[in-house]
Parts: sequence; structure tokens; C-alpha cells
Amino acid sequence: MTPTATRFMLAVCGPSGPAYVVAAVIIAYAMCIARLTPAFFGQVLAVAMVLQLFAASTGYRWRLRRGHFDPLLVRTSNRWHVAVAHWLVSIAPGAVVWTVLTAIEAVAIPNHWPEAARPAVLILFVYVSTMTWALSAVTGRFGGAVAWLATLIALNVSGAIGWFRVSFIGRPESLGDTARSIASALVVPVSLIVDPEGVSFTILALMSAATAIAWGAGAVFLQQWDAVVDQS
Amino acid sequence: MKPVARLLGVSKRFGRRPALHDVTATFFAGEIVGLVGPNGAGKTTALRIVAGLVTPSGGEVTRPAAAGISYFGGEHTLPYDLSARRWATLWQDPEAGAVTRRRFGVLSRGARQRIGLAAALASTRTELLLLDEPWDALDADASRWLSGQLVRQRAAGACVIVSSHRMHDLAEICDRCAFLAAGRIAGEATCSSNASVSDRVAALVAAFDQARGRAPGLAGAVS
Repeated sequence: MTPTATRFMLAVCGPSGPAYVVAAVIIAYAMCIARLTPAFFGQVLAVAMVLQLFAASTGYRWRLRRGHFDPLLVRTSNRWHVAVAHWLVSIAPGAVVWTVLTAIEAVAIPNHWPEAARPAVLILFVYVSTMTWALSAVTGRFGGAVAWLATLIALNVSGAIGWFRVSFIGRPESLGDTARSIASALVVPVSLIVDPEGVSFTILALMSAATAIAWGAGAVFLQQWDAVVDQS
Repeated sequence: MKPVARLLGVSKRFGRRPALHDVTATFFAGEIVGLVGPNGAGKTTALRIVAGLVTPSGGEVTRPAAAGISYFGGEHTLPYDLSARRWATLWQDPEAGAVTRRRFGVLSRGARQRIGLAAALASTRTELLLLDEPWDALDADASRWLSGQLVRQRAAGACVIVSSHRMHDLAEICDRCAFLAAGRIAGEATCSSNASVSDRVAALVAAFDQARGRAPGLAGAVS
């Protein structure tokens, strides 16, 4: 019997032992913050979002070139299923942790809609996960996360991150302002958690569109690549 | 005999390097076909094209539905970070319970090869079984086990294509062998089922020598 694509991907690309430890640590951290300083729960979400950069960067091509996916690809006529399964398995561990964080926040701060469950934050979560998944499908394991983090560090070192932040929270008065605000949301998306007042419907719609485009690009790559095994 | 897979004028280039050139071959149900050739002759590429893992640059490929194909590219293609038992369970290997829980990465090459082969052979619906150098790293007992399994697959009506350098193992079970050199089929030999194994080996070596005369690229292809 051939396993389903999702079951196969879960076995081959599923979370490793250290990933469970990191998940336990972030949940413990969330419980501490929720008990001691619930007003700062957004910090936990920002840290979880950064960790999701790495969790979703499972990589595809490096395993493909080692032949790890051979038994599945041989028996699967529809590679869209493979793309869906790989994406799901890549983002699912982070999604489970995110759900737990939402529950902790809901319990710790009653009569308050959890930050983690705000539509804007959920869109951000899927955007970040999908973008790093698609990038690392091409570049290799953690490639998407490293590339994105390196960009953020470079922006921070050059001082440009402040410009991005101002662009994000400022009221857009022209087309240029709107474009800068959108660029800020796409490149430094954690602003959506830190500065939620900058979120507009246009930004959310564009982030959703960017997510769909990133997923489509990743899935097309997965379909196009030949499974040529690296003999070196 | 019913044709299971067919290559018609198939060629493959990796960048500017040709790997296969105008290969035409038909594979039938209930037969074992050996692919012999030196390293870089195109055996792996040919198998992966038949399996549907690699798209040919030219020509036509006919193969059964994906669900009926089984392929094992060798122990080096297994995910070394995965538990061997988890892999065996995934493929519903009936002997999965006896497989070690240790990661592939810490097992010997022979153990990895055996577990990978068992998983590839576990399917009961295989129409086309493709194995790349399956005897590689196996000891004598495991080699006998594998040959027995391949003969059983043939008896069940599957078409089995194996690439190997081991002429003795091929002569023992193959119905015919194709010799590949520099991406081309340089010759073919039929193995008589009535002859003894030593006669079959001798016939295969003679056919190989004849092909080598036509294609010097075959030198050093077998042991």
C-alpha cells in the first residue's frame, strides 16, 4: 500500500526532536508572560513568528536531489498533491503551537479577543509560513528563514527598519505612501503584531494575494523539478 | 507477452552533457531485464525515466499507471534522519515489527539496502519494479533473498528491471540483459532458462564481450 502524500511527508519532513523542545519552551514562555505580564503577550507572538520562519523552512529540493521523495513521486501521478502535502507538513507544527498560544492568551486575558486570533495576525502567520516555505523549497532547508532574517538584520543595521516602521504606521496620504506601507508589511511583516494600528484592508488583501502567489510559485517549482539524484 | 513499459527514441541531456541517446526498448510483463554498463553509461537515468522521476529531453515513454510502479534507487536515497522502522511501517512492510527503531544514518549500508528493498517489494500491486544496483552492499544471504523476491515478483506477473554490475546475479535470474555504453544500447543478450547458471553466466559474458567489441565504453562494467 502506498502511504498518502501527507503521511509520507509527515514521516520524512515532519518536526524533529529539537523542534518539539523549542515548541515546549515557547509554550512555557507564553504561560509565564500570560501569568506575569499579559499586556506584553504580543512579544510571545513575535518570537513565535520568528521561530515559524525556521519551522516552515523545511526545504524540498535538497531532499529531492538525494532521492528521499523517490518512492512517493514514482507512485503519485498528481504532483499538486505532493505540493499541498509538503506545504501542510511544513506549516502545521507552527500552526499547532500558534493555536496553543491563542488558547493560553484567551484563558489568561478574559473578555478580550486574543491577539493571536485576530484576522490580520492569522493572515500574517500564513503569509510568513508560506513565503519561507516557498523560498526554502528553492534554496534548501532553513534557506527562506535565513534569507529573510538576514534581510531584517541588514535593514536594522542600516537603520532602514525605522523607515519601514514609520511607513507602516503612518497614515498613507498618497499612492507612494501606500506603496511604502505595503512594502513594509511584506518585508517587515512583524509590524502587524507590534504596530497593529497600521493594518488596513488593502494591506491584508495584498498580503493574502502575495501568499497565494508564493504558494503557487512554490507548487509550480515542486512540479517542474526533475528528481535527478545528486551522485556526488 | 503484454508490454508494460516502452522507450521510443528516448534521449536525455543534463545541460550540454548527453546521458542517453536514442534509446528504444520494450519491457514485458513477467520478465526480469538486466541493465549492464559502466558508471556513467546512463543506467540510472534510464531507470529514472521509466519510473517517471526524470523527464526525457526527447522521445516517448509509455509506462503503467503510477500506482503500479515501484522504484528503489539504492540505500543512499533513503532519508538517513528517519527511523528504519518508521520507514518500513510507512510502506506496510509485513516484517516492519522486526525492523530496528534506529535511524538509517547509524545502520550499515547493507542493512539500509535490505530495509529499503523490502519496502519497495512490499506492494502487492506492482506491475513494474525498477531497482538500481539492488545487490550493492548485500551479503550472500541477503543477495539470495533478493533474487528469490525478484523471481517471485516475475511469477506474479510483474516486469522487473534491474541495473547491476554483478553478472553472476543477473545471469541467475534475468530473462535478458541490455548493455548500455555512453548512453546507447550497445547490445542485448537473452538468457536461456534451460541452461545451468554457469552456462548462463558464460553466455552472458560472451554476449557482453561481443558488445564490448562494438562499444569500447563497456570495458570495466561488470564483476
